[in-house]
Amino acid sequence: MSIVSVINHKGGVAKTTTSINVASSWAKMGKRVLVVDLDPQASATHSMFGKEEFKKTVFDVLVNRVPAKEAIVHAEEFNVDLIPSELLLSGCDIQLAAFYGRERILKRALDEIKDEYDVIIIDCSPSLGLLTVNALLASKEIIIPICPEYFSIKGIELILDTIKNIRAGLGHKVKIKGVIITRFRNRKVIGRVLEDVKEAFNIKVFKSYIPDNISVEEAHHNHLPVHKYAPRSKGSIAYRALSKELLNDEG
Amino acid sequence: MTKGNPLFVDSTKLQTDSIGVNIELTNLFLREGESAFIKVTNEKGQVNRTALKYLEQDNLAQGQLWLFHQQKISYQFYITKGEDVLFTTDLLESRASYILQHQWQPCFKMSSKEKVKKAAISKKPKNKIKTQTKSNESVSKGVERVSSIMAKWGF
Ligand SMILES: Nc1ncnc2c1ncn2[C@@H]1O[C@H](COP(=O)(O)OP(=O)(O)O)[C@@H](O)[C@H]1O
Ligand SMILES: [Mg+2]
Repeated sequence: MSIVSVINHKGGVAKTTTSINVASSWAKMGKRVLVVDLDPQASATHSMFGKEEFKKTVFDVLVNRVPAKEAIVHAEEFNVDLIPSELLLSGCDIQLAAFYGRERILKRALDEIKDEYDVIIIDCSPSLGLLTVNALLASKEIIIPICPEYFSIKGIELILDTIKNIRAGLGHKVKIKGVIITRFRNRKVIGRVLEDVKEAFNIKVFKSYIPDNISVEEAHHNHLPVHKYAPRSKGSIAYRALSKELLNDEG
Repeated sequence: MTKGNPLFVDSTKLQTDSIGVNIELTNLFLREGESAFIKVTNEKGQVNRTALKYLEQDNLAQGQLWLFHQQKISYQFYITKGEDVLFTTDLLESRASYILQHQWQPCFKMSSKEKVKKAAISKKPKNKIKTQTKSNESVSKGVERVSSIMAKWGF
């Protein structure tokens, strides 16, 4: 059983795309997977369910203390469970701030259901607030998607600082599982990123790089995982390889 | 380290709760016979001391103290050999949280107390042979120490 947060304070680096496609690949490999959409923009929810609305979302789990079980829906095409999100979540920091144990609400909610899954993936929002702190306290490890075309050292430093603060202030240690290269157009650019990430930060970079591929984008608009929408596309092949690599990486 | 960013303050702990603070002095290279300890003073002036365990392969000295959550503390790391203090860090300040981490850097400033002591010593009359030899001894010891500092820190 592991709980992984997909995190990067930058938007548009394929956090959501990676979360849902890896989740679906793992499901295809026989794993029981739950995705938690923790972004008020709800792109994972929309990507899986279109415009469908839900009675109960992660907002209710966090703010109204609804048991996580009651907010879970099954995404047929992806073959994974989802705790959906909604825009209301964007104001929840203020509501949560007054709660005793406000930083561990998600952890406690997931504790009740985690035995029913092999993996839980948390798709984080790009902002650093109580939502992200909740995600990190619920997680054993994180993966960081990076888009080499607009990669920044500062971005990684910010994540490392956050991890450090979580450990110092809240006593929880999160492991950095590694960096994932997403949406690359030019292989040459990757080399530079690899050097920076490995040498400056000593963080593992997964070898299955995800290319910028139109099928990935189209799959998203068709509410399908890329392995179903275009199984032979470069995007699908890359995500399948990445999913295997992530599963085999224990330690 | 953040100084009390509320985002990273444990809301389940009160300021009167004590927490186990893991202490880490990083980037540290100790030689044989040398050891490290930390001295922590809290808001009320209570002093806590603990020896740190040196993990050579990680260049890290580690220990733990129980301190009041988020209480202001001042602290200083010491490197000692036998009875002698070889190096210290500056006097540092923070709030007690689960980790107290510091990258080793020796302090070369003398505290005003030490300065006063030194001044008092140098004012002593030089006519006693015994003290003369003693101070010679301490000079040669001092030279030894300086050269060991230079070797250690590459000055
Ligand atoms: N490999 C890819 N090839 C083409 N488009 C991609 C790829 N990965 C992500 N995208 C598109 O990029 C946009 C941002 O991706 P998203 O996963 O929402 O990023 P984030 O969650 O980090 O904000 C989406 O429109 C998505 O469909
Ligand atoms: Mg997203």
